[in-house]
Amino acid sequence: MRGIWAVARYTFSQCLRMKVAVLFILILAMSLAVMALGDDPHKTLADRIRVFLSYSTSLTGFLLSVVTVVLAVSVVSSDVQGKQIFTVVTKPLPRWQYIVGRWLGVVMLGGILLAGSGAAIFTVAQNMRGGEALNANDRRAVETEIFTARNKVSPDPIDAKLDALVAQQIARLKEQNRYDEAIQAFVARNGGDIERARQDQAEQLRRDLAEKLQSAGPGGGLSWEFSGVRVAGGDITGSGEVKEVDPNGFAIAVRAPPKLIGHLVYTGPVIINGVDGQVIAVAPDAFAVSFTREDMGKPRLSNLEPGKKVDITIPPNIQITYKATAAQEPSDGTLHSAWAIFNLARRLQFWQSRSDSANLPATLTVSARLVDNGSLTVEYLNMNVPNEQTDFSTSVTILNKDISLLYRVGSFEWNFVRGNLLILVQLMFLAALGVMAGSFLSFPVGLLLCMVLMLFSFFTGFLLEAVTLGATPTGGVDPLTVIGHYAMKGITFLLPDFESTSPAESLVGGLNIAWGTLTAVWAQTGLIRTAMLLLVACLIFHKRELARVQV
Amino acid sequence: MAESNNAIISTAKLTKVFRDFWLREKVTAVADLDLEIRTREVFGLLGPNGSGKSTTLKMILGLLFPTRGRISVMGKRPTDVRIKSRIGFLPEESYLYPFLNAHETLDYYGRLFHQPRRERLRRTGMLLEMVGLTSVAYRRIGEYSKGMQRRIGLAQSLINDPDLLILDEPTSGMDPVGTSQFKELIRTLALRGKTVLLSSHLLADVEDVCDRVCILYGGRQRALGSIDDLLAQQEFTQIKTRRLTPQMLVQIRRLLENAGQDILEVTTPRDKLEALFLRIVDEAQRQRLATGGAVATGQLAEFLREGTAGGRQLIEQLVAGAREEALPAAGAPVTASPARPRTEVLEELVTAAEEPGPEAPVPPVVPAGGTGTVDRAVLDELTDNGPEEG
Repeated sequence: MRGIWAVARYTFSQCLRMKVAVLFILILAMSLAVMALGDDPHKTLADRIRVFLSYSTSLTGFLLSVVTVVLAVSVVSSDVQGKQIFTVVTKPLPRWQYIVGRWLGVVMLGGILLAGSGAAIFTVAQNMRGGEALNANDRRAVETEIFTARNKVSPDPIDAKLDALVAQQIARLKEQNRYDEAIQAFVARNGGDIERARQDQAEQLRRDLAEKLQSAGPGGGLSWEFSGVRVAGGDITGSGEVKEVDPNGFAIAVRAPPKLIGHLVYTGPVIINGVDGQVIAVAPDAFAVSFTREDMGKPRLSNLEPGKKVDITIPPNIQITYKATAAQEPSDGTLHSAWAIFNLARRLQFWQSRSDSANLPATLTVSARLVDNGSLTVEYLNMNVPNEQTDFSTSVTILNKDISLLYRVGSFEWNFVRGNLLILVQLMFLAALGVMAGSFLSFPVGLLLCMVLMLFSFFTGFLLEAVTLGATPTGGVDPLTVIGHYAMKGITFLLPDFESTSPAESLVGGLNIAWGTLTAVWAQTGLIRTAMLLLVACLIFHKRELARVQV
Repeated sequence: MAESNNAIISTAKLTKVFRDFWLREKVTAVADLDLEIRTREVFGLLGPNGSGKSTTLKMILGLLFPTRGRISVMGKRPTDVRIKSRIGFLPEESYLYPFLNAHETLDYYGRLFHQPRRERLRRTGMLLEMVGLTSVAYRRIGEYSKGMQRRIGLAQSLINDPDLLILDEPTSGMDPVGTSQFKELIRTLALRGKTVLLSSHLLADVEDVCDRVCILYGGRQRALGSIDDLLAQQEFTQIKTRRLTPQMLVQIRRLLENAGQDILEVTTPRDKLEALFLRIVDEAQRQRLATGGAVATGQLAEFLREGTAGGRQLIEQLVAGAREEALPAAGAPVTASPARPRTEVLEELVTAAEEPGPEAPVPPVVPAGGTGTVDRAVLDELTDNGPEEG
């Protein structure tokens, strides 16, 4: 193993001296500078941070991937091309150790560059976090939607409900002796056989019913059930200073740091000096809390006066993100709604009227205390009905895939580390790919091969979708599509899907990258795929002649 | 494969055929080569460009695989990693990492031999001193001249104090000082019991250091044997003595005529240009004149002198002895004479030299222009015969 380490050390030095690291740092620094120059101060702080995190993380991942591939192909192929390999493999160094050492050296450099750029991005993001938010909502978005690590839960699927509805509808048509007639009409219109027509008809029915189930007419409502919501701990604690006390209104106003205020929710719970209260107002630098008469009389609150320090504990929140699509575009672009969330066991309820931009994602933040034994029922009421002010009305669709519940499970810091570990495993794979290509191809050919495969990995999802098996209008299947589909399946088995494991989206959305997910990616890509590539590289290198004919 | 007990390398019917992309036979670089290189000998592979020397070496090193035939190195296959710790290799060009400096290069190769840090540092320092690169040890190798790169290449091949040293065109690109020191090194290593296999087309270098040679042409073996056997001209006798007067030469001629012999060539030997060059450089180095290039001490690295055969003192004595034998003294004629002189003729010559004869006019003695450049006029005068009479 000392041979591997010796080769790895010198590969690291070699890569450093190739000035690739300097070039990478320069490009990254220039890109960050351009981003800073293009920063729009009129945007919300949350959006500015999102843009920064998205671009910087994606750019780092992409640049490091390119750097890793170039170096990995180069270090092996150039040794063969430049014949330095003569003086290396004639030493007591098994060829496989040379290959693994080369790979390790490239990964070491990639890891260090990643750590450096990660530290820079983290520092800049934290610096931006301390900037001034446009309003309380902006601050809340920064603290609870970005600098956090949340689990995302989709609503319980409607498949079972849909299946039942489809069966019910078909049964009804059959009872009325209209089903066969409808099928015949379908065959006459579209061609194909009866069985195919039955399937297509059922699918069409299913699609129509699914749309109905996910749409609400004016004044109508929608409902979702969420289960498996495990909000564990996650209290946010800090301290503030009493700004004002209203003994008659049983309320106090507290000045607190923006990072703390960002976690407060209007009408949500907050604990001051150990006493439960309810948030009744939130400003960028202060908030107001009301208490019951009984609690207000407790010594921990009764002797408060302006300027006194108080301990603040904010119980965890949950967020519901959704995208409402209007059947008819509202003239002011705004959709009106009412949301209701209940926890009957605790006799808690949350009710809020909202006006959101149509067709854009919106977030509703509520206290996690509304979760009832891991479950939550969310109801929506479409308030776009004609009234005294307007005649406008529209039905609204919120698809199941467009609504989700999020709750905090960890810190941004550790999430950021896990995100970078995802990039590292990507680099490990690409380094192995590069070394494998370099073990039998010249630099330009090897690089070309790696770049093509890397692009496959980055766009796996898109490519798979492009060759999805589907019936032609006549009911047949295009043979080229079948070949493409199974070829892509094979490729995606061998190549990792970088698109789905990219940390940028998670970091920008404050979504938790679970240790389990990370472990699975490391096992599949970092161990199995990388080891397979290295094994192939070692076999090729062991079997090939390393000198050329010169006669 | 007939392999004697002391063979360190042996090949049997070794053949290498190079094929093109379509696997059509392109060229046969080595054909049916049977070699046996013994331990403790300096063996030379000779041949013009493209004769298969480098291909043979690369097959011995496991860089190329034979098409047919077998190779055994230290009783193992050439690709066996276990034998590599006992082998040193200097390729035809010093294929080293240009981004590393000399110190890092030797340290790197030392690591590949799993040498402990202290030992690596010790050997690195000694080798740099030996090849005269101490002052430029921290300059990148990419900035070195070709000769300096050869020197560091040589140093890397010795980092493990190898039992078998394989050298491909070792003196190519080296200046005469380096070449001379290099040959000296080979002799020393041979005295220490190392085996050296070298390929070259610089015949003088090979002749100076090799015990046995194999001459290749077109990938086939054309001659194989010891230098003495191959080069000795058994039909001639060469006598070397201090400068003779014309009268003495006449006497010698008469003496030989009486013995039924004739003088074929009389020359005043010249110094070798190499020897002259080395003297000038040595003088400059003694005066410590500035140079940006390599300044070799000419001393062997200590760890290479640490032998098992008799200890350091003995080795140095052997080395000193070898130096006297092998290197011409300054100004001395350099004409190796493998044939043993006949003592009775020598005695007569000495006697005759003490009694110079005044009679015959003595022709001037012309300097030899090298082997085969004989001034016939001198010979004619010596024998008092024109060419048509002789």
